[in-house]
Amino acid sequence: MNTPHKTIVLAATIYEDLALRDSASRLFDQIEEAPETHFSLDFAGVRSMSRSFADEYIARRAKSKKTITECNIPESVALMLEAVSHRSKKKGFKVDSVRTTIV
Amino acid sequence: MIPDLWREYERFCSIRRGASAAGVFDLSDLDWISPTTLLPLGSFLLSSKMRYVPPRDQAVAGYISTMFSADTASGELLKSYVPLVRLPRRNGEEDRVLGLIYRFHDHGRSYGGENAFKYLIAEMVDNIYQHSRFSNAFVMAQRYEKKGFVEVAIIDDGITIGGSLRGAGMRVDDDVDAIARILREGISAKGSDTRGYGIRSNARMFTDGLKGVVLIVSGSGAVELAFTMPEGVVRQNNYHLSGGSSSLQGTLVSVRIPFPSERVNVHEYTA
Repeated sequence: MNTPHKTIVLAATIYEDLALRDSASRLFDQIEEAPETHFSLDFAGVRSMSRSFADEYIARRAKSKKTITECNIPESVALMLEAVSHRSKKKGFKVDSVRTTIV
Repeated sequence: MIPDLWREYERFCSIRRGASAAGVFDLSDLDWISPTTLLPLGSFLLSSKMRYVPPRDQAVAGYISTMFSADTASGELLKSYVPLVRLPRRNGEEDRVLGLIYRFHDHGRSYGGENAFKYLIAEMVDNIYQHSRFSNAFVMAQRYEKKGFVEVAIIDDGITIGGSLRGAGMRVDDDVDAIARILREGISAKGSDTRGYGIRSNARMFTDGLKGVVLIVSGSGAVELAFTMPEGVVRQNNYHLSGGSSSLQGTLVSVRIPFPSERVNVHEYTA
């Protein structure tokens, strides 16, 4: 029996730069609503992925009951997914001086 | 050293003060204008339907007219600017507007590299979609060859940063405190511990990494973070905007990035 399978080319479906959290969310809405159970997400042609997109992608992928595989992931995207998957505690950003003015 | 952005926003406030008295935006004395002044002005003109008196300086008058009316629909690369472009509502077209900004900036190659530049711009825009509940949002950019920096500004007419945090039940002292805490601590109205990384790492990357300036004006507060030379330090300037003449109904995020900038390793800032 053939497993219902679908390939989604992300650069064509979304854009070559995967930037917005909502775009990742829409992608998984589409996956969840589709009849297929197996999805291959093809990253060919993708140039970048933002942290917000990566965060939503990882969260939605973890929750999905569909079988999802990825292919052609560029190194910069792999590094972003890795960074978001293994995030450390937020570090405060120290500045050297603060000046306050009432306008 | 990159000149600060606050004075450009003050220029908008001064023009707006004059307009509330005269009923018209008088730009006749302007001899220079940048996106941090022009973007809130354009947004205000569109919402108020007021008219403006163009600058006497024909070059500046022509520039303003171009920035307000240039056609980006063809998607062709414009030479040194991104004119007033409306950010689409949530319809799947948002990524393509970002693509316009990326192409205009040659994918960020001169501004710390493609990964760093796109990370910065994407997080700026994504925050508007996630938090502001805007009706109208616009972006504008200008590259200054002789001055050696690019200025990118994004504005929305949403609920402000402080409004978003307060709406989520978070305690903030005022709008300056709200802006400073998202920039420096990475707090987020979404509450999740996975949220809030983006804007904080943006602030670090714009200043520490790219040696630039970032100004956020939201409601009755404004915070500017600037990398200053020759000291090589990051300075924070807070502005409490009392009364209506300087405050903003919504949020303006404006950045100046020097170019050419050394390549920034985005992953040093995303942890």
